[in-house]
Amino acid sequence: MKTDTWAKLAMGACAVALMAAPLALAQEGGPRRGPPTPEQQAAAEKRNADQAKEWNAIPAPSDPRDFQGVWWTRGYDRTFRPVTNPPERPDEAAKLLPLTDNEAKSRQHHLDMEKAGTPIVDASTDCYPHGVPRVMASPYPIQIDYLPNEIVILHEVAHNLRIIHLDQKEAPAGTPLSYMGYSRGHWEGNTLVIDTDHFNDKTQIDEESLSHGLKLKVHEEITKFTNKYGGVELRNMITISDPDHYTHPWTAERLYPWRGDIHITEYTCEENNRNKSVNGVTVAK
Amino acid sequence: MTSMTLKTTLAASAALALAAVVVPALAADKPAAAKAAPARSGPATAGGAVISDQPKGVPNMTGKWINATPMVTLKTSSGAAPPLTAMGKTEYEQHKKDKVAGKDPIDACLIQGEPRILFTKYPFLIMQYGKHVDFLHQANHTFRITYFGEKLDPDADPIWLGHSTAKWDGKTLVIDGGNYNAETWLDYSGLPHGEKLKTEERFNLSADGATINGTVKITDPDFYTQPWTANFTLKKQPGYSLEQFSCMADHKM
Repeated sequence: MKTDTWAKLAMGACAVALMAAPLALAQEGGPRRGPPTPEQQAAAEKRNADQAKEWNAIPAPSDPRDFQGVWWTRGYDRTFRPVTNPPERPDEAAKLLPLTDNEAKSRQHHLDMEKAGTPIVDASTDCYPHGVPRVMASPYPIQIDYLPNEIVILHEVAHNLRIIHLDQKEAPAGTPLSYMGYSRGHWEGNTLVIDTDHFNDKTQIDEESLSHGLKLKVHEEITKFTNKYGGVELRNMITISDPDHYTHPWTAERLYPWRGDIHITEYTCEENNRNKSVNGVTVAK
Repeated sequence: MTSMTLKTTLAASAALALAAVVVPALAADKPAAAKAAPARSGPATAGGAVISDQPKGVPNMTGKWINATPMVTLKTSSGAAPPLTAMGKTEYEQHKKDKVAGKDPIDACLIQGEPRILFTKYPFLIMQYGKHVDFLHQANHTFRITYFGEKLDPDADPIWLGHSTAKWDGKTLVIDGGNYNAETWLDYSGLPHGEKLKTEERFNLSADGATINGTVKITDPDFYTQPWTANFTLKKQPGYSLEQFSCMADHKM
């Protein structure tokens, strides 16, 4: 692995640790999350401002419809939760997942197996494509490229690839079912709207515990905005529909800060895959 | 250190990550009307790659391409066999045996290195921008991103697709590559190389924009007595859409 990948990992871990700090500190005194102290708030403000400056030293494209370049979600969040207004803390939001009875059992089984040290494998464990929306939650950076009538998302993780067709409303007849599905996109104002279906049932919704079947449809709305620190980000509002697993469609959010300061690098899942599945589970070796 | 170790490391940090989910932390950044941007007129950047930031007069090679003359066994531009050293010959013979035994690196879906991946029968995208040029191959969804004007770092760890840097030589796109690991083969037949491999690819777009005439120069003193060059011809494939390709699932290679 390249040194800069280590640097990325270190940065990512650092970001996770920093973000976790107020929550962890607050939880020491009890189960309720308290407000951050003024010192923590000031440190967070400074960190966010410093990051915005560093990450945008090479600026993002100014055109609101131009997403070309490298973006990288913060931290490492292994699941999706419904967006709430006002925002709920993660464990509370997770309780709002509209799981069918079978999906609730399936989710609990996933959690139990992971707790037992034998996580259930999904496609990515064996280096198959991650699927959508799972790949959009990967803690690795992405690069977005534009072609005439197509937008391409290159994912560092396991060299996943998404192609979004801008000139089609539906998947062509005979489109095979696949790991990444078939994506069509169009612009609504400055929001890139993507609809994806024709999935096989071999991937998961997330890394942690959520499943889907052949009826999965994913609707994404991606908009570029500038945060209050001056940093540019993409917001992806991801709506997941699969009546066999969820009692109604639900929407999760992912943010991807612009990262003018990094390149995406090579990731070869197929090399020395120590997570490779054995009898449907994996034990990292 | 492999990527999978990284994966494992990341998995180990899962418990920490669960306590650090981003939604609440970032909610304050959310503008009041994120999705209420007004309809926008004028040209959409989605309709065509932005190339305005490129040097004046350089050709635009953005598009879908396929190697019109894929080669199982690379030949020099004069049609000769590459000038293998004694060590090269030994290694080549071993690779031929490996091939028969199902031990071609791509049998395990490992990334095809350069220049092998340029000579597959599968189409690929070239996406050309001012600062970088990207090659995105249908074959095992492999991509290589090459930045203009970057210096190759001689201390960088060798990797499957190597490290590369792009430049313009007049209207010719030139990509210099190095830092390749020794795990890949130069071609389907098993032509060998080591970590000293250097490549120089040159891409020339025809006047009608439909063809790229290219060459790749191979330099590796351990395996070849002198640098040698192979030719390739790429044909544009307008209207073609890259198919989803999972080597692990299909073993289509």
